[in-house]
Parts: sequence; structure tokens; C-alpha cells
Amino acid sequence: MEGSPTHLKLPVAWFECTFTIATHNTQEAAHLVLGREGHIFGRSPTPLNIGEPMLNASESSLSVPASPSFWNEMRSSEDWWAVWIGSLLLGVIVLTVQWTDSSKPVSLLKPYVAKPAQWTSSLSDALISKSGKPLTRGIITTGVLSLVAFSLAQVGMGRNLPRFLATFPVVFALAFIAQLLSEQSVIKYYNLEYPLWGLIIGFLVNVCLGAKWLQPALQTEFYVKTGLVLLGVEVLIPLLLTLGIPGICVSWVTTPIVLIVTFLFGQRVLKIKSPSLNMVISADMAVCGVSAAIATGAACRAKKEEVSLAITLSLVFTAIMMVIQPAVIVAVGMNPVVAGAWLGGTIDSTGAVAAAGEIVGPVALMTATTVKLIQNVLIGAIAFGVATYWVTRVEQREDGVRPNPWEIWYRFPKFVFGFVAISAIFSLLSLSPSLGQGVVDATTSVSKELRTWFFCLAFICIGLDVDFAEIRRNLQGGKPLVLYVCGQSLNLMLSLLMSWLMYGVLFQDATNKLIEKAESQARAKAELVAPAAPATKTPISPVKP
Amino acid sequence: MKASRLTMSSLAISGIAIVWLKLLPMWAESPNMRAALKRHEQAGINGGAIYYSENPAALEAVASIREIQVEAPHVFWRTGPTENPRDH
Repeated sequence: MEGSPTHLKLPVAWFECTFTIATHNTQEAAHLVLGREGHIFGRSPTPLNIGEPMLNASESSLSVPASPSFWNEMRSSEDWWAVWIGSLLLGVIVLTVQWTDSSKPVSLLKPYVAKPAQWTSSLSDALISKSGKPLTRGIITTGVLSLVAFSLAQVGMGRNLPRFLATFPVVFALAFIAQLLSEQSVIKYYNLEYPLWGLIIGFLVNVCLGAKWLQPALQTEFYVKTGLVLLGVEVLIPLLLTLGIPGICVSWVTTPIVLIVTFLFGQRVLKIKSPSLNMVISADMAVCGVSAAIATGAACRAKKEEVSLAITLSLVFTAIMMVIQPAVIVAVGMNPVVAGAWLGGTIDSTGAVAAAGEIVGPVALMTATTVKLIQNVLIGAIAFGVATYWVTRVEQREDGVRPNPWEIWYRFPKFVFGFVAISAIFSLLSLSPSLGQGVVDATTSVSKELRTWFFCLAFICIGLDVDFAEIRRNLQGGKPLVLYVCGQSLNLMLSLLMSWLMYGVLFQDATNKLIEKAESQARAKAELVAPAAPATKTPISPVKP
Repeated sequence: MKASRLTMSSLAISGIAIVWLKLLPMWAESPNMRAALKRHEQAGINGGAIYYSENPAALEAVASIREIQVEAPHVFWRTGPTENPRDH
């Protein structure tokens, strides 16, 4: 597409382009205006069809209506369909929540939505839940439910339904295999999460069998966006206040500073060509690894190769940090609360933070997982912020014209509204400790399984469709690696400083309370498991004022 | 072309089968790894979690911190020594 007459006309014909969007009511046209075709985490229209409307508009701009049809966009765009499907699924889950004899409400859908369980030696254990119930039926019905939901969207978006119906089960089966591999105990212990196996399985199938025949079901961005709308249920804003001021300072202050400084460093010092690659690496390093990479990647329409590269970097460094950081902490005898906050603020992956905290001791485990939880919840605000920044500041540089509010609205990734709205609704519900929280918990228990499947489907699609030339281009002589290392170094220093200031100096009472609580719980647990076993591995001493 | 694809497919499947069905289970049965896995299970740690809701340890931690907040509501909001209302 580059160098075509359409693109050469673009800077002088911005308003004509806007009219084009108005005439055809497709986000795909807007997408071309931005010159971002091929961005798999963005929109994926067929590029050849997109060029035509712009020329027509410039030839007959008088005949086009002045305002685009909002309703048409809502009916046909992938972003909105992700919102509809996500909301529909959540609506069904909420409507099936029932209060049984036990105090906790459960969704009637729970037995019908499942994923493979953790297994150690026998593969068949993956098909049996912890409570001993078979999971096969749940996995099959999850496949059917996903097929029905995504088929509805195919019809709505005017895509080829029969071809989708024929190919989706294959992609779902590959996602099942990727999850089976990721659920092996040792693999889980070392935090090698399912996105990695999704990429590898997809890539292997691509190399061995080819992936063209699966093209109708390769809808990476759609699966990601729908998964993100479901993730909104888990982004409970009140959790941001769990650790009060210390938590706010370690997570709310340090994280955005590291994210912004790393992004600016990548753009201004390293001069990384792709701002979206720069942003995805900065976010997954500063916030919470894979989930942050997925959310920001979708918000800034990063290419699939950029998200893959960022996640691979994150997983490699997470594996290194979860071994080295606890060893350093134990060696220097760091205060366990400061250590926990430091681990939670710096190690990317949620699972690895808990594993590293456990090596240090129960106090560090409690603080680390809570700090990471607060960072997890931040991804809603960060995705919204990144999407806004992208449409108002980054994309305008591509055509050199500052977009007006209407254009900003048009270019904004709409699924982010769904994500934020769902998060707001469920956050409000969670404020009611009995009724609301019960509904949130029951909904989450089902939606998180579906969300895992949808993200896994997306990574299978990335593996099946990955472009190695693009990955080589993204490597840019190791700049992403330098960016990650420099950003993580800043993160390590700033998080340590903030953790020490908060828990070691200013909030010593809170630190002592955390130590007391974690100690007493560890003692109770140890007594429950083995009455004579020591409660902790490292000596815990309260902070002296 | 077809033959080479068949060979590659067989190699990939064999490789995955050997690693996941033989080597990793053997590793999991080694005393150190078995102890480590047991510790994770007892602490409610899901090493493969990509979000807090998949990690029972995180939910336990939040519940514990809420208990602290009930006992001492200002402990995370005021610097310096804070009073416990239950002490009076």
C-alpha cells in the first residue's frame, strides 16, 4: 500500500477522508486513513477494498452525508462486537447465578465452562478437577459456547460463517493442547504461561501443516478484545486501595512513572521505530507482564509480532528475576514487607511474584501478591490512558494533522469502553459485601475460564500467522532488549526506594501489622499440615520505630 | 514437500511427547521439585497465573489485609504510630 496515490493524497485530504468514513460507515476506512493496515492487534480489514472509498469520496464529496451512522458502526465493527459478545456472555453468567444451601452463590454455568486442570505425571489428570469432577464435558461445552458466540459475531460483521464454523474447532483444539502443556506442574512452577505454548503450538502447526486453511478462524484481535471485555469483571477498582497509601505509592506512583519514562527513553534515546512496540514492552515490564501486554497491545493497536516479542522478553526476564531477586533479598536480610513490595512491584508476572514471595517467606508472599494485585487492577486505567494517548498524540504524527474530537472518537478502540464499563459496573457491585461481592465472585469463577480460552485462542492465531521477517525487523539490533533492561533497572531502583520509604520508614505500624498477621497465619497453616514444622523459612522481626 | 512436512510433524509430536510425558513427570517426581510443588500448593500459588484472580494466594492476602483494616482502620492511611480502637 505504501506509496500508492491514496496515501500520497492523505495529508491534504483529511476531511475528505473523514467524509469517506461517513459514507461507508466502516472502521476499516478509518483504519486505512491511519495507514495501520496489517496491525493484527488493531483492525484487520482487507486492504484492497479499503483504498477505493477514499478516491470515491474525494471525487464526489458533495454527495456524502455529513455525519456517519453511529448505529451502523455498532452493528458491524469488530470492536463493538467484542463488547456485545463479552457483555452477552457476562449477562448470561450473571443471570444464572444462584444462591444454594451454602453461603456462597454459584453460577449454574460453572460446570459447563472449564479448562484443563494442573497435572504432574498422568495426562488424564488434566481432565479431572481438584475436587475430583470430570472436566471433559465442561471443556467441550466451552468450545460449543465459544463457537456459538463468535459465530453470532461473524454473522453480524458480515464474515463467512460456514468457513468459520469449519475452522474454529481446529483452532480451539490447538488452544486445548497449549493449555494442556502449560498445566504441567513443572512448567507451571517455572511460570511458563499458556501464551508461550500457544505461540509455539501455533508456530509448529504453521511450519508442519501450513495455516492458510485456518484463515477464517484466525481472528487474533477479536478474541483478545472479547477476552479483555470479560477481564473487566476482575478489574475491581476498590482493590486499588487495599494497601492504603503505601500501596498507592508503590503501585500507582512508581508504575506510571516507570511506564512513561521507559516509553520516552525508547522513543527519544533508543529511537525505537515502532511506538507501539515501545509501549507494549514498557507496559508489560512496568505493570504486570502478559495481561498488561495484551491490554496495551490492543489499546495501541500493536502488531501481533510486537506483542509476541514483548511477552517473550517478559517471560525470559521473569524466569531470571524470580530466582535471583529472592536470593538477593535473603542474602542481605531485607525486611520481608519491603522485600514483598519490591518483588510485587518489579517482577512482571503475577504467578512468578507469588512464587518469588514464597521463597522469601509468608510475609513477603502476602505483601508481594497484594502489590501485584493492585498493579493488575491498574491495567484498566492504563489501557484507557494508552488508547487515548494513541489516538490523540501518536497517530496524529503519522499524517501530520491534529485530529478533531470527532476523528478521535472514530479512531478510539471502542472495546476499551466495554472493558472500562464492565469494570465500573462490577466494581460498584463489589462494594456491597454480601450480595454484590457474591455475584462478582460467582461471575468471575466462570468468566476467567472463558477469558483464558479466548486469550489462548489469540496466541494460537499469532503463532499460526506470525511473520518472522517482522520479528527480525522489530529486533532492531537488540533495542527492545536494551529498552527492557534499562526500564527494568529503573523499576528495580524506584520500586526499592519507594518500598523502603513506605514500609521501612513512614508506615512502620502497617509493616508490623502485616508481619504479625502473616506470621500468625503461617503458624496456623503449619500446625494444620505438620504440627511440629517451623512456620517460616526466614526469621521475621518487626520493624523497630 | 509432503514428506518433509510429515517428518517435521512426527518430530514435533515425538519431541513434545517425550518432554511432557517422560522428562517433566520425572523431574516433578524428584525430591526437591516435589517439595517445591507441595509448598506452592499449600500456599495457594498458581505459578502460571497471568492475573490475580487465578492466584488463590492473592485472594487470601487481600482477605488477611482486610482483617488488619478492621482491627486498625488507619494503619495504612496514617504515618507514625496508630492506635488500635479495640485497645480502649
